[in-house]
Amino acid sequence: MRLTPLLPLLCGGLLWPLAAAELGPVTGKDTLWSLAKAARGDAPYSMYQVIIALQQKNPRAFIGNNVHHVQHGARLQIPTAAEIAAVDVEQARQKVEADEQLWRQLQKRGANSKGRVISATDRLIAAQSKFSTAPEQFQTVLPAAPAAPAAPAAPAAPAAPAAPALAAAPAVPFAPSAPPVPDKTPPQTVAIVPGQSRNTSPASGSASWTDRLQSNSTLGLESRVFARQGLQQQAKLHNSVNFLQEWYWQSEDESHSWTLSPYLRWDQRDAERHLLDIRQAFWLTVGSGWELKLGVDQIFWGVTESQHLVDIINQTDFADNIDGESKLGQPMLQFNWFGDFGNLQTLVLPYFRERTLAGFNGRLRLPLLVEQDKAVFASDKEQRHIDWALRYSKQLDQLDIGLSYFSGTSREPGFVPTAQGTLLPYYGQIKQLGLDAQWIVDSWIWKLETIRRSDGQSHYQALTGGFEYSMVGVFDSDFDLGWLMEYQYDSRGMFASTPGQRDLFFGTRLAWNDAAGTELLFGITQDLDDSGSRSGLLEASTRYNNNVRLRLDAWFFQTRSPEQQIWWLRQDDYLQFGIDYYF
Amino acid sequence: MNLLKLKGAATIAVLLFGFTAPVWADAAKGLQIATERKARDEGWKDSEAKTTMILRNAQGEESTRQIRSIALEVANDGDKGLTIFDEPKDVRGTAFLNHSHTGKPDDQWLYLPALKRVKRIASRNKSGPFMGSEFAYEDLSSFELEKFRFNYLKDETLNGVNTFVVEQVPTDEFSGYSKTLVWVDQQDYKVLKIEFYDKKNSLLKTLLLQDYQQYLGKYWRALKMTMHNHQTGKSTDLLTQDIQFGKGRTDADFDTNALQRSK
Repeated sequence: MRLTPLLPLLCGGLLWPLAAAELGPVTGKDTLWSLAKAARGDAPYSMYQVIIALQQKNPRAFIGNNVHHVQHGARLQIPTAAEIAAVDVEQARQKVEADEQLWRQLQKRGANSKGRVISATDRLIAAQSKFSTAPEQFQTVLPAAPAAPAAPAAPAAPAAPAAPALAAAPAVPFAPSAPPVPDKTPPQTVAIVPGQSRNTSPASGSASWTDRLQSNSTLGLESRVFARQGLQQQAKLHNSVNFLQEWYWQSEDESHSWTLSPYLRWDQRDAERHLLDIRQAFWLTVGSGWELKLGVDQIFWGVTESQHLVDIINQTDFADNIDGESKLGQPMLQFNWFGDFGNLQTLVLPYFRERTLAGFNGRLRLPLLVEQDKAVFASDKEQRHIDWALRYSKQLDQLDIGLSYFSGTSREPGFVPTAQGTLLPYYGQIKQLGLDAQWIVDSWIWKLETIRRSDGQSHYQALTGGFEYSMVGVFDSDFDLGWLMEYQYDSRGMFASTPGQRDLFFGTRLAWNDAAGTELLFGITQDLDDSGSRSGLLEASTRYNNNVRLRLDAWFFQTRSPEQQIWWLRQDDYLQFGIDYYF
Repeated sequence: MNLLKLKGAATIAVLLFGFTAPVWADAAKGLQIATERKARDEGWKDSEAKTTMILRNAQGEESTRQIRSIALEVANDGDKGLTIFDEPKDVRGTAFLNHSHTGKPDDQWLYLPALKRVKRIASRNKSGPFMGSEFAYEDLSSFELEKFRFNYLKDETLNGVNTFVVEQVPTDEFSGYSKTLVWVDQQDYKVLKIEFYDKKNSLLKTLLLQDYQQYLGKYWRALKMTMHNHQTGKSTDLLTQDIQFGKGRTDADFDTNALQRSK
C-alpha cells in the first residue's frame, strides 16, 4: 500500500480550485499564494476547514480516518462552499493536529521498517507550496503505515474527461496514474467540464513564468597545486575562497528589472588576488524594439573559443584566471535598438577598471613586481575618461555577423619599467575596429574574429579563425564529442602583447550527457614558429548533487625560448581542484 | 497440384491485397490522422509552463531538474521556445532558445550565465539527450507534418480508449530513430503513447502521456509524460505544474536579446 501525505498535495493541488470557486472570477494574474492568502484571510474558510471538509467528502480516500493518510492515487471530490462552511474551525484544527501527532508516531514506529522515499513530485509540491503547515517529515522517508488496510488495486480510471458530475468545479490533477481508491462503485472523479476549461493550472506557485525576485548564492573553494616552486620561490599550494551573490527583481509586466551581484574573493598567499567587486548592479528597461541599461554589467562579444579578441567592454579579472573569461564589472549606459535591420548596441563607459594581476607572492606573474596602485594613463582624465563603443550585429539565416568599434582606454596594460626595478601598468588610448562572424553548416560552426587596433602612433591587426565540429552520440553512446581548431595571428609577431601571434589551437570537448552533467574540455595551443613552445588547458567538471559541482582545471606551459611570453610561466604548470556550492 | 496452385494464387492475393495495396491506402489515412491531429492543436498562440523532470537510473536512483519555458506558435514553420533551467543549481540561469523549422535545421542558442555569453549551437543532429534525460531534443520539438512520412497501421484499444496506431518515419536523416509508432486517441486526437525504434529498428523507448488537461476549451496537454528506455532501464518523468496560455507573447520574446535578459 502506498501512502501519500495529504498536506503537500492539498497545498499544491487543491487550494486553487477552492479559491477559484470561492473567490472568483480568478484571472491569470492570481497566484496560488495570493489566492491562498485570501482564502485563509478574510474569507470564512481556514485551511483546517478545507482539509476536514475534503476528508468528509471523500472518506474512502483517507486511510484510518487520518487526514495525513490519503490513498496514493485517490481522486477527490471537491467539497462545496456550504460543506466547508459547515466544518467547525476549532474542531478541524484539533483533528488535523491530532492526526499529525499520530502520523509522526506511526512514522517513528515504522522508522526501522522498510519505508519508501516520497517521490520527487511530492517533494516538489511540498517545496513549492508556501504554507508552513506541511511538516518537514513529509519531505523525508515515509514508512508503510501499519494502519493501512491491504486492499486490492482497482483498475485505473480514465484520467481526463469523465462524467460532468460537478458542474462548477475545475479539475484537479491529483496523484497521477496510480490505482484509485478501492471501491465497488466507480470512483467519483473530478472532471473537466466541457466549456469550463481553464487557462491556468491549479498547482501554480506563481502567475508569472519568471519569479519576480530571485536570490542566488555561490560559494567556491579553489585549491591550486603547482608542479614546481615559482621562479620567485613562490609556494606550490595556493588556496582561495570566493563568493558570488546575485539578486534579481523584475516588475510584474516584465518591463523593468534590477540586478545586483557582488563578488568577494580571498586568497591564501597573494594579497593582489583579494577582491571585492560589483560584477553587476544595473537597472534595465525594455520597450518594443529597444532596451536601456544603466549601471554595472558584463558584456561578451565574439564567437571564438581559444582567445577573445573582439571582446573589449569589460576589464579582465586576470588574477582570477588567465583564460580571460573572468571579468570585472563595468559601469555603463547601454542602449540597444533592434529590429529587422539587425541589432545596434551603443555603450557609454564613464569609468575605467584596472586589470587585476598576480602580486608578489602570487603565481602566473611577470618577473618584475607590478606596482598596481601606480597605474599611468595616457588620458589626463585617467579612469574618468569617457569611453564609448558600438556594435552592429545581424543574423542572416545560417550566418551571424557582428561589426564593432571601440574608442577609449585600452583594457590591456603596457608596462613601464621604473628605476626601482618595478613595473608600472600603462593604459593607453586606443581605437579598435572589430569583426566577428560565424557560419553554421550542418554540424560545423566556422568562426572568425578579427581586430584592427590603433593607439594613435601605430596600429596592428589580429585574427582568430577556425571551426567547431560536433558529433552527437559517439561510440554508440550518449556522449557528445566536439572538435575545435583555431588559428591565431597577430601582425606584431614576436612583439605581440598576447601569446597568439602565429599559433594553432586544437581542442576537444566531451560531454557525457549523464545525470551528473559531466564534461571535459582539453586544448593545446602550439606555436607554429617555435616547435618547442606550447601551452595547454584542461577544464573538467561533474555534478556531485543538486547543489554542488566539482571542478578540475589545469594549465601547462612549455617553452625553451626566452622570447616567448610563456617563458615567465614555465614553472607555473598547475592543477586546480574546485568545489562550487550553489544555494 | 490444383491445390498447390490455389495456394500459390492465395499467397499472391495475400501479397497483393494484404500487403501492397493497403500500404498505399494506409499512408493516405496516416497523413489524414496526422493532419487532423495538427489541425486540432492550431491557434494556441503562446504558452508558458513550469516543468519538473525526474531522471531515474536502472537502480531507481532519482535526480530532479526544474525548468521554466515559454513557447510561441509559428504558422507554417516550427514553433519557437525559450527554456530557463532552475535546477540542478549549478546550471541555474542557463537558458536555451530554439527556433524549430520544417525542412531545415533548427536555430539554437544557449545563454551561459557565468560568461554572460550567448553561444550558437550547431543543431543538425537533435538525437542527443536533453539535460541527461531519456528525452532527446527531437522528442521535445514541435509536431510538424513535414517531419515525417505517415502510415496508418491499425485501430487498437489502449486502456479502454479507442486509438489509431500510426507509424511515423522521420524525414530527417539525422534523426536518431528509424521510426516511431504513435497511439492517437480517436476522439480528441491526443497522443497517448509513442514507441521509438532505433536505427537498427529495435524498440528503444516508450513514451506514455498521461493526465491530459484541456485548455482554452480546445487544447489538450499531458501534465505527465514518462519516457522509459528499454535498452538501459532508465526512465524520465516530465511533470508540468503550471501551464498558462494567451500571455500575448511575440517574436521579440524569442530573440537573442530576450535570451540574454532571461532569468
